[in-house]
Formats: sequence, C-alpha cells, structure tokens
Amino acid sequence: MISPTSIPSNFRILDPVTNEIYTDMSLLSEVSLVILVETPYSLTLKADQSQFFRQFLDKKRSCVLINGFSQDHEISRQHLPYWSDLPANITFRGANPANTSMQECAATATRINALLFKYADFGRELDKRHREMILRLNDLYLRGEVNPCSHGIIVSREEMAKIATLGSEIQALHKPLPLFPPPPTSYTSLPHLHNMLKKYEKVCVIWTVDQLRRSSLEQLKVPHLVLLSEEENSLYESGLSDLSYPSSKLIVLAEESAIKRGTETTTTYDTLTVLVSKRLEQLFHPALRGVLKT
Amino acid sequence: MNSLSSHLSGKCRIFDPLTRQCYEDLSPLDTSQVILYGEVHETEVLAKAQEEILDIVHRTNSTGTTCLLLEGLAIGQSMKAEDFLRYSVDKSVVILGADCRAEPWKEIHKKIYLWNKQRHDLIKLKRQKSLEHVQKVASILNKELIHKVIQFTKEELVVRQAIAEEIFGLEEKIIGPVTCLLKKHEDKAENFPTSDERSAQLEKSNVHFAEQVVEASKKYSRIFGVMGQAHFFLNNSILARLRSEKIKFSVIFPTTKQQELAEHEGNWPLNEYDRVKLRMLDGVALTTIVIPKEFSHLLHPAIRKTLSGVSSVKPLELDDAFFKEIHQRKISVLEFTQPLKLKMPPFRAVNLDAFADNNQRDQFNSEILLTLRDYFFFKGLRFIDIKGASKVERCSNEKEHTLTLHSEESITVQLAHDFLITEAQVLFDELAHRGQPEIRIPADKKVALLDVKGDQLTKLMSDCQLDHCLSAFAPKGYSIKTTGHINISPSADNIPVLVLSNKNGLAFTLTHKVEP
Repeated sequence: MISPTSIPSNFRILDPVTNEIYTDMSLLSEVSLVILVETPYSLTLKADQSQFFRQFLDKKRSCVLINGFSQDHEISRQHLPYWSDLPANITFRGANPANTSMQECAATATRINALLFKYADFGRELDKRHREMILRLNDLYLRGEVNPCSHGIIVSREEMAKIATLGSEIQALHKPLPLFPPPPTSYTSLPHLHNMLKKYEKVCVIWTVDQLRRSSLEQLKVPHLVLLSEEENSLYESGLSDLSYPSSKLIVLAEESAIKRGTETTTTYDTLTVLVSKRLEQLFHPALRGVLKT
Repeated sequence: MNSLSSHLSGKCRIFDPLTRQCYEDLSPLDTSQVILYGEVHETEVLAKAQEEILDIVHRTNSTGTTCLLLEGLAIGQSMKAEDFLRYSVDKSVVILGADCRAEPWKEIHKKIYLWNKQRHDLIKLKRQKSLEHVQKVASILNKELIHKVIQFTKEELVVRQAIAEEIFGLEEKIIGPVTCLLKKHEDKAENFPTSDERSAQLEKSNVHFAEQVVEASKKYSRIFGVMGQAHFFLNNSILARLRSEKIKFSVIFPTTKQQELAEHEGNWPLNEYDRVKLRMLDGVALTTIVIPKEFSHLLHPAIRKTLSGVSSVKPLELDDAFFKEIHQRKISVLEFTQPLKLKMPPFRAVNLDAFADNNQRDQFNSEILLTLRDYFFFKGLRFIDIKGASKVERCSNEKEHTLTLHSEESITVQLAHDFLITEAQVLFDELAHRGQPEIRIPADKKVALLDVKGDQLTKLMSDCQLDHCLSAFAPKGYSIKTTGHINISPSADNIPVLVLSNKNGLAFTLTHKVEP
C-alpha cells in the first residue's frame, strides 16, 4: 500500500476528461500504469520523480519509459545521473518510436545532462542577483528614494544605471549557454505501452503536456493515472533556457528632463523593463509589489 | 551571514502597517530592538514556529536581556519560564504581561490553561481523524469511479448498496471515539469561570500594550511581543507610539504557508470550518455525509461536482458591472434579498467592540455607517441610509477585509449620485494601501472631506494652499497633489467642512515626499 504522505506533495492527479485535479494518492495502488506529465529540464523535478519512483515502483519488475530514447533501447544509469541511485529492480527503456540510434540518443542525453546542471547554476546566480536588487530597492523605498507610481517605480538615474548593468550581466551569464534541444514530439505508442505492461508489473512513462494532449488515452485498456507536477521551482527551472520562467515586469523610470512652462512642469522619463521571477515577488515591499505587471 | 534576518529567513514575513500586507525581505529586523509577532491564537503550528523564532531572537541578542511581552498576561505580572506552558522558553528570557484586559494569573488559570490545551489536543486529533475519514471515503468512491461502477444524477452519486453502507458506517467508526472523548472533556469545564471579554476593548489594549513596550525598551536590549493579528489590523496606535519614542521595531507575521495552516486549524476549536454535503443514492435510500471543505480536494472532480455547501444562501458580492449599471441608470434605492458581502477599504477597519455589542441588535452603530459611507465613496456614490440588516459579520485578514450584512427579510440601501463624502485621511490611506497613487472624480461631482475643518479650513480659505493643507492628512512620507479646476467652499449641507467642486474632473495624486 502506498502511503499518500510519501509521495512528493507537488504531484496531483489529473482527470483528463475534465482537466481538473485531485489528490487521492491511494489510487496509485489500483493502477499499474502512471503517466507523469512534466515541463522538461528541471533538476528539482528529477529529484521529486526519483522519490516518486521509489514509492510507486516497489515491485520486482518495473519500468520507466524515457523520452528522447527509442523504444527498443534499454538505457544504462550513466545516461541518467540524477536517478543513478534508484534500486536495480527499475529498468529504464526508451519511450519514443524507434528511429534513432542508441549512440545518437546517448550523445543527446549527455548534452542535456550537462546543460541541466549548468542551468541550475545559472538559476541560482539569477536568483541571487535579483534578490540583491529587490532588497536594495526595498531599502531605498523605505528611505524615500524610490517612488512607486502607476507606471512603475521612479528611481534616480544612478540607480537606473545599476539596474541596467544588472540586466546586461544577466544577459552575459545567459548568452554562452546553448539551448536545450526541443523535447521529442512523438508520444509513446499505445501498443508499446501495452507490451511493456505485459513485461513489467508497473510502468511509468514521462510525457510533456503536448504529448499528453495528442495521445489517445481513452484507448488504453488498463486502469491508469495521469500525474501532474505543479511545482514553482520546476516551472522556474524549465523556463530558464529561453528565459520564459514565470515572471513579472518591473518598469523602472528615471527622470530625463524637466521643462518648466509658467507654473506647469513637464517631466520626461527614461524607462527600463526588468523581468523578475514570480517566486521572488513576495520579497518586494508591498508598495513596490503593487506596481509589478504580469 | 549571522544577522537575525538571515537566521529567520523563510520562517516569517514582515508586516507593512501602511499597506497591511506582508513581504519576505527580513532586513528591517537587523536594526530592530522590538519585534512584534502577529499570531493566529491557539494554533499548534504557530506555537512551534514562535518557539523557534523566539529562540533565534534570544540567541542572537548578544548585548543584553531578552524580554517576552505577552497578550493574555496582566500588566505588571511576570512569569517564570517553567510556568510558561505554551512552549519552552530559555530561562534567561524575562516574561512579562502587557494585557490590560487580563486578570492576574492564579492557580485556576493554570487549570483552565491545561483544560484548554487538552481540548485543543482532542480537536487536533478530531481534525486528523476527519482527514482520515475523507481519505477513506475518497479512496472508496474514486476506485469505484476508476472501475466505472459509479453513476451521477445532478446532485447525487448513484452507488452500489454495499458501498453506501460501508461509507455510512465510517464516520462513526473513525471519528466517533474522539467526538465522545471531546464531549466528556467539555463536560468537565462546567465549573470554570467564564472567559474574560478579551475580544472586546481591543483598541484600549493596543494603547496599553504600546506603553508596556516603551517601558520594556528602556530596560531590555531586545523585546519580543506577541499579540493576535487583529490588533495590527485594527489601527496603527502601537506603531505610532513606538515611532514617537524613536524605538526601532518590526512587526512579523507567520509565513504564507503557516498562516494558511493556522487559519484552517484555528477554525476548528470554534467549530467554524466550512463543510460540504455528499449525497449517495443506493437504489433504496439516500445517504448524506458531511465533510470539511478543506479536504474535498481528495475527491475526483466528477464527484466533487455533486457536493453542495451546508449553508444554503451564498452572500452576494457587488462587482464592477453592478456599479456600472447603478451609475448609468442613476439608481438610488437598492433592495437585496440575500446576504450582502462588501469588500471594505481596510482603513475603515471597524472596531471589534462595536460588533461584540451590536451583532444582535437591529441598529448599526456609527462605525459601521462610516464604513459603508467609505465603501460607497470608492464606488462613486454617497451613502445615505441602510435598513433591514440584522446581523453583521466582519472578516479581516491580510488578503481582504469584508463585511457581510445578513437580514431576516431584505436589506434596503439608499444612495445619492450628487456628491461624495469621506475623510481626507481615509481617502489617502486607501490610495497608499492599493498602491494606486491616483483617484479621479468625475466632472460636476462635489467632494466633501469631513475631517478638513476648524482651524485648517479657516487657514485654507485664507491662503488657498490646497495641496499643502491636504498633505497633512496623507500617510507618513507622502504628499498630495490635486489637479483640475477646483472650487473650494467651506460647507456641505451647512456643515463647516471642505467641499471641492469641479467642472472638468478632479484628481488626487499621492506622491512620495522628498525631504529637503
């Protein structure tokens, strides 16, 4: 019997018919097939998945089907360093239709693994720099040197230059990192899944949301569950490679010129847009948080 | 990284008194002598969190003695660490009372405390058992659904008789024993004196608490004061007093997750948690079970759709489309046959004492009328009168402040479109809170600001420095700029207050004051 509390709490069960979610993990003991839906390229998620496999694939003959490898490949643990310590009863096999050589798949996997770790480092650095910027802005706000307005925040030209420098430093950190290859679009064929279920007592397959949408799950003849991972960290990490992580826009304004005509003064401003990770939003002083735009 | 903020990172949030919201940058703690903790009372999740925070606050205080100031303990009373039963406190921490409403601590209070603690333990057990119950029910029904042996009507599940019977007996089996223990325990409380009226006199207690903090700050290098969050939502009197003494302080709140857990946990002792009904038809009979709403996410979405709320009438919330119509059609009398839920400007947070006294009465006290006046001001309407409301429910937390008006029959609200009435202070505080620095008043609509009167009004009428005059009502650090062609006159319906009229539209803008 799987204890619901031993499953990482960010997993939810998706009802593919209504697209709604629920949390009754006791159902895992009823099914032999679980489809894990992920946003790829997150190390945090790999760690959660590892914990999930330990709980769910507790039988002698279990299998995880891996995206990016052809379905006739059995994959050694060296290609999956983040899962290398999983018990030996779990076999890793390819999930996609057979049209690529093992060598090619392995080379791609090695490239992806190296990038995963590099992007995790980049994410930590990005977080650190944004955090420093937010704390500085909060401090300046409390000293009356940052003014929130309906467009964004008004800062001194000096501060704006500092923020612009931060932006170029982040660009410079990001630029040398190559992009992840696009995730496979072909999904595991249902006959392959049925074959695997004859061979193994429990099977997990990892799909992207796109693969889930294009699959014909209603044709699956066995009870199965679709699990979603909705963790902020994994969404953030997944979006690092193309800087599409969930973020808010902070518009920074600095006075460019002020022209006085009679009693009226017309002020023009330079503007700069900074993207700040959504998960850091709560770090902003509420008065500054109020001007963030999504 | 040995600062207090780094040690407490991820364990609490800073409460900003102006916006009534929290943020996670804890750096203000590093310069604070006084740390005030806003808690949800009597929740275990917060007692544990508080114990850890106090321990860190004390251990990082290398320059002198730490003082723990408590709500619930009478002013002038001290307590030994071993007598403080809620959680463990280092012996060197000085524990002092700061609550003008509390009676002196006697042996009977210890008995009541222990009785209460046991009651809370039982309630906690009941909540756990209730979760276990819903997990079991969900597991049975979800499995039936997966194997397609369940059907639906509009409001019921059609299940096999054996399943309905199995589920029917579960509640008694799982929760029954603890309910019985709880009942026996409640019976033992008969001879205890009734609890003091602590929820009343909140305002008075804030004043006294602030004085105790000021006194303690002269003796102790670090002060950790614990109060219910309602004290901070009520008004800024504690903070204003500390500022006037130039005492460095911060107010901290639990983390978002802790807050959520505490609010759920805190509703159980009061028996005020939301419940939903699950109805099952087994071909012979209809079985209904009631479960806590907070656990309903365990049920499959298709099953969840058949759930119905236990309270049948949902309060009506007035949205923008509603007010658009009111303005277009110039409607001035509204009649509501269901409860009315109004999102309040937090700066018109109503005095809790008033609710304690008036909940059962047919009349509203002036605080509530002022609250309604300001609510309708921000909707561009002048509130005149309300009739028929018999009970008021107030909910105030960091997410929202609401007032729900209930009625035996119907509620009638009378409004006017001619001019708007509020107080300058409420208007500007609300703008600061919303992070919306500007409010526009439509052309030809007069605005009366009731708190601009007396000497200020006389001075304004003589030198016409409107922005300067209004800036005195702005929150600290802000000034006010008015734009538009404004006529200033000193009365509204013969009351000597400031009235602004305008031909082409008027705007108030809140700007940060730049100190010379």
